[in-house]
Amino acid sequence: MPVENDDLVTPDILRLEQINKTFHIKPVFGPAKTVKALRNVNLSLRPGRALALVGESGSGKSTVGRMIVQHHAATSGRILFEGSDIAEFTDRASQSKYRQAVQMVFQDPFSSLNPAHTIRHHLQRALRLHQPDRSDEAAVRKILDEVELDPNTTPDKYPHELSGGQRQRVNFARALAVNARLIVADEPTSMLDVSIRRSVLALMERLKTERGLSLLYITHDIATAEYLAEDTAVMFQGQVVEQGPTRDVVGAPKHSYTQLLRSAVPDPRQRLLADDNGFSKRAKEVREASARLVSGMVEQAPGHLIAQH
Amino acid sequence: MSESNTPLMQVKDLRVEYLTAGDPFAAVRDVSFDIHRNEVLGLAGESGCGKSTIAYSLMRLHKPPALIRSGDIRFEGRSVLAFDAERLRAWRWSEVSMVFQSAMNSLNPVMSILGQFSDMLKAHGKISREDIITRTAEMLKMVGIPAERMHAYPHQLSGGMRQRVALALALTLRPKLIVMDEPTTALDVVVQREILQEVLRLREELGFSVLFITHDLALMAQISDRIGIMKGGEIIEIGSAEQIVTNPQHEYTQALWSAMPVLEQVEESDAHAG
Repeated sequence: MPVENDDLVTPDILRLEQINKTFHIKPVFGPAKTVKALRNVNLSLRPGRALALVGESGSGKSTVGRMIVQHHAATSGRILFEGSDIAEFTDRASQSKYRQAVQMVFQDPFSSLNPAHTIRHHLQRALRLHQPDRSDEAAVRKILDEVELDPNTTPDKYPHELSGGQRQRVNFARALAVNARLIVADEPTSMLDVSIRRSVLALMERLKTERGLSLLYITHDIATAEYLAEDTAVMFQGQVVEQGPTRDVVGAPKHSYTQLLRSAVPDPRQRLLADDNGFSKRAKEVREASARLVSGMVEQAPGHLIAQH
Repeated sequence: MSESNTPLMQVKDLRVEYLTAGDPFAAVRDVSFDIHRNEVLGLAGESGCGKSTIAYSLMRLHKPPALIRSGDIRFEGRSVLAFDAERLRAWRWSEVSMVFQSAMNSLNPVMSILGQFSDMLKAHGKISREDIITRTAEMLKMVGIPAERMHAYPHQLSGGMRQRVALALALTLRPKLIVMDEPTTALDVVVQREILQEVLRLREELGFSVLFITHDLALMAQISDRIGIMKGGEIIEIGSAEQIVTNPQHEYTQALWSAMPVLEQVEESDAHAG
């Protein structure tokens, strides 16, 4: 469970400053166009904590994740990892160091492992590259044990012999094998069944508290954010509309979009009736209002920022 | 709801098997349930529990190696399994239609929305071009899409809009039952709510039953009148939505509830907010 411990002295492990990202799309048919995927995004993540990045599809949350692992470069603004700009990691040594420290876990557990190799291969390869001195069988077993997979039978298995939840655990094991300090998890549970979703969340929670890992948890499911993350940022159309401690952002949202998102989370005790009580009308109004350019953020409570449009 | 007449659809001891190299695998094991008129019946369970197989079998859309081994499916008293090919084709869509899993991808990508309506309407009777256009416009308007978008292609619409189109297509021939297999899984919660509200509003307006299949129990509890919980090809518990939520009997149902982060967190945060 999230623990409130406002130690403002700890420097951020990751900081995004005024990030803008514009994609230029040139389709085979039709005119070229530009898409502003991110507009003036500011985020920070403290070590040993989890930040949930919540938003609908197309809100730019995955773009943030991909920029952190250097799949995309920012159009403007900078990303600081432990105080240094990641754009300046140009030589081989610092690149390799950064890639070791920051790992990504993807949404689809069925396509993110090589089907032709055993689990042992996946883990040993990572170990050999980043920790050559401990790439033996014992290390593989230890890591598997840490992600709650059977250390005796799992190494010889191929990805197709594992379930989605188990494969996602292998992906986390791979990130652990290189001694990552920050894991960017892009919708790690959305392709899993509800019944195993929670156990993968529990694994992430445990890695955070026991190993002191920092997590950027990208999700469209605002309810799971509360389970895992101390801080939450809500994105809409490339802008952060509300951010702060999860307790405030999810528990008592102030921005109209967060409130809309929060009210749409299925609640089994609330029956839906034919009359929607103006929900669709409200959704349309809120979307229009929230898409407008953010002029500034207002600090509602310590650390709880709400966008003004 | 009056229980005066017979159920709309009666499924009795349905057994669906998949033929494999070895012994056949029974995906649905002697399942029985009724769908009443104007009712939303939910079927919940993990992936692989056979819920989608049931959805397909009800319309006899299951494909080899799946086969219905035994049991009976009756629609308004008529045995669906006894229909010949012609009868089956006429029955599908005009009396029972389906919104598929990832309905957004069930539209033909190289055909305009009007083209898809035209295809479907022509398959079920003679109809003039003007009537097709009028009908399409009317149906799109009903699900909240401007009529002029009928000339758009699926890729020009958002995921939510495509889902609405799929719903409009399923409703056009005024079926008595719509089978919805994970209709909103790929959508975010706001769009999901908007579409389900639309379904409920249309049900009140037009009157139809829904067989709603999902693994999201919370969502199911919000819109279903009755819920069946499936495990390993069997319905292990079936009851009113309220009973399944507040007083689940089977331990698997209880386990499903406790495995959902959604539910617990919502409750907690309500407490915070209050």
